Amino acid sequence: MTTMQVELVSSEEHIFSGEAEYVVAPGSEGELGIYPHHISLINKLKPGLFRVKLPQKEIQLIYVISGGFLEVQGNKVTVLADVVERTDDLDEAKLLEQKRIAEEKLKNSGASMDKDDAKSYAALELIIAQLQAVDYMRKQSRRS
Amino acid sequence: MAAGKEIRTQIKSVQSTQKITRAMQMVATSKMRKTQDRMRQARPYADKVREVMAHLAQATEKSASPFLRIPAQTKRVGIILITADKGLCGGLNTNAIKLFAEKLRDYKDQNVEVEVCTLGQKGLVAANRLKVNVVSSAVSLGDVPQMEKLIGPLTGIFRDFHDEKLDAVYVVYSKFVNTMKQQPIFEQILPLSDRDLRVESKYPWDYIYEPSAEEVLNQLVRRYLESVIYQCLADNMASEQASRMIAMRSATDNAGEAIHQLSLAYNKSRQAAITKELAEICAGAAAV
Repeated sequence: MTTMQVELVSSEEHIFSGEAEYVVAPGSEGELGIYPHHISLINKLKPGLFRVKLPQKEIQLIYVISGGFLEVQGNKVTVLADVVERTDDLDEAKLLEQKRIAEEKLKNSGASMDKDDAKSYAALELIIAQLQAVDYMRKQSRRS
Repeated sequence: MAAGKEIRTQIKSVQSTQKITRAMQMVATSKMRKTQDRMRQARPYADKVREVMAHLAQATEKSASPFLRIPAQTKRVGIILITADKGLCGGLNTNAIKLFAEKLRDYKDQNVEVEVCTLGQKGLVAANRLKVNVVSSAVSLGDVPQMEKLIGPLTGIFRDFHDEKLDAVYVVYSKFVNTMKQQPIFEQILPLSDRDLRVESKYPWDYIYEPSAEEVLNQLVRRYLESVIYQCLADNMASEQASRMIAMRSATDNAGEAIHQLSLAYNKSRQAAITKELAEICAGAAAV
């Protein structure tokens, strides 16, 4: 099985570096799956899940990122994430509550979007991504 | 010679000062390690962003992004002044501000307008005192550099460069050389120098861009600039703690020295009083 080098760094620290069979990233125009020897590519990322399939392992590593960039060049994938959230201490109930509050806030503000709204909109996207992560991990643990 | 009681109070006050400086020294020592770790942790991101940006800049035209332009002349410059929030850290802030004031004078002589963005309380106070045009500022940055706190103040200055209102952007901060040495640095951020964009060209072909080359490049340059400033701030925080540790250590040593001198004086005056009293008794006895 061919593999490729993957690097995940956030602005505050280096998160992951290693070989992978494939990765799945939340591209701004849609989800991207990248296998080894992909063509050179630079892609903007939106908030969502970044998944790494390690060679010879059933489970995937899951990271929640709040946007950033992905570069593919010469069988190497580099992800420059703005913020990476940890996925091992996510609390679904708390997230659902946060989501409800964020949605309420946005509903009240109506059609006019100001700076604060943009911020809470971004926060909402991140919460949704975290919920996806919870969901995904649950599925994964059921499978194994 | 001062009376015994007065010296005793003096000793006590110096002792309590010493306690404070020793505590501050220890706090600074433990924080210094953490800030140094953070300084190192921020490096991979900055390196990677630079790498990707350099690849991109090579693959696209120089005119693709306003951030890549090289202005013909320098009429207006922006300076980002990074200092600590708190004092009591030796000459750290003073040196950085001195360097800043020097550069201000140079620009004034050359009739170049300056706008300033300050990060850290001390820099803001100094900039206001020097009566420069402060366009944005951030204070109370704490001990952990946080990207969110930086983005707001920096946006203005980078946008001005983007809109050709500024011809160059510089940063002043204290570089962490080692624990004993911190160097105030004046560095060019924009326009991007060749050093920033140099790359070993293994893959000269172009990329696929999503959404578009321009948008990707613009946002990437912004991230690069932010990460450079973040790195400077992390450096500055490590310098602050190291410098404070050194300053507090010498303050503690000096207080010890002062206590030694004072107790010597106290013992002397006590001995003198006893001798005097004895002499008086002897003299009295002899008179009888």
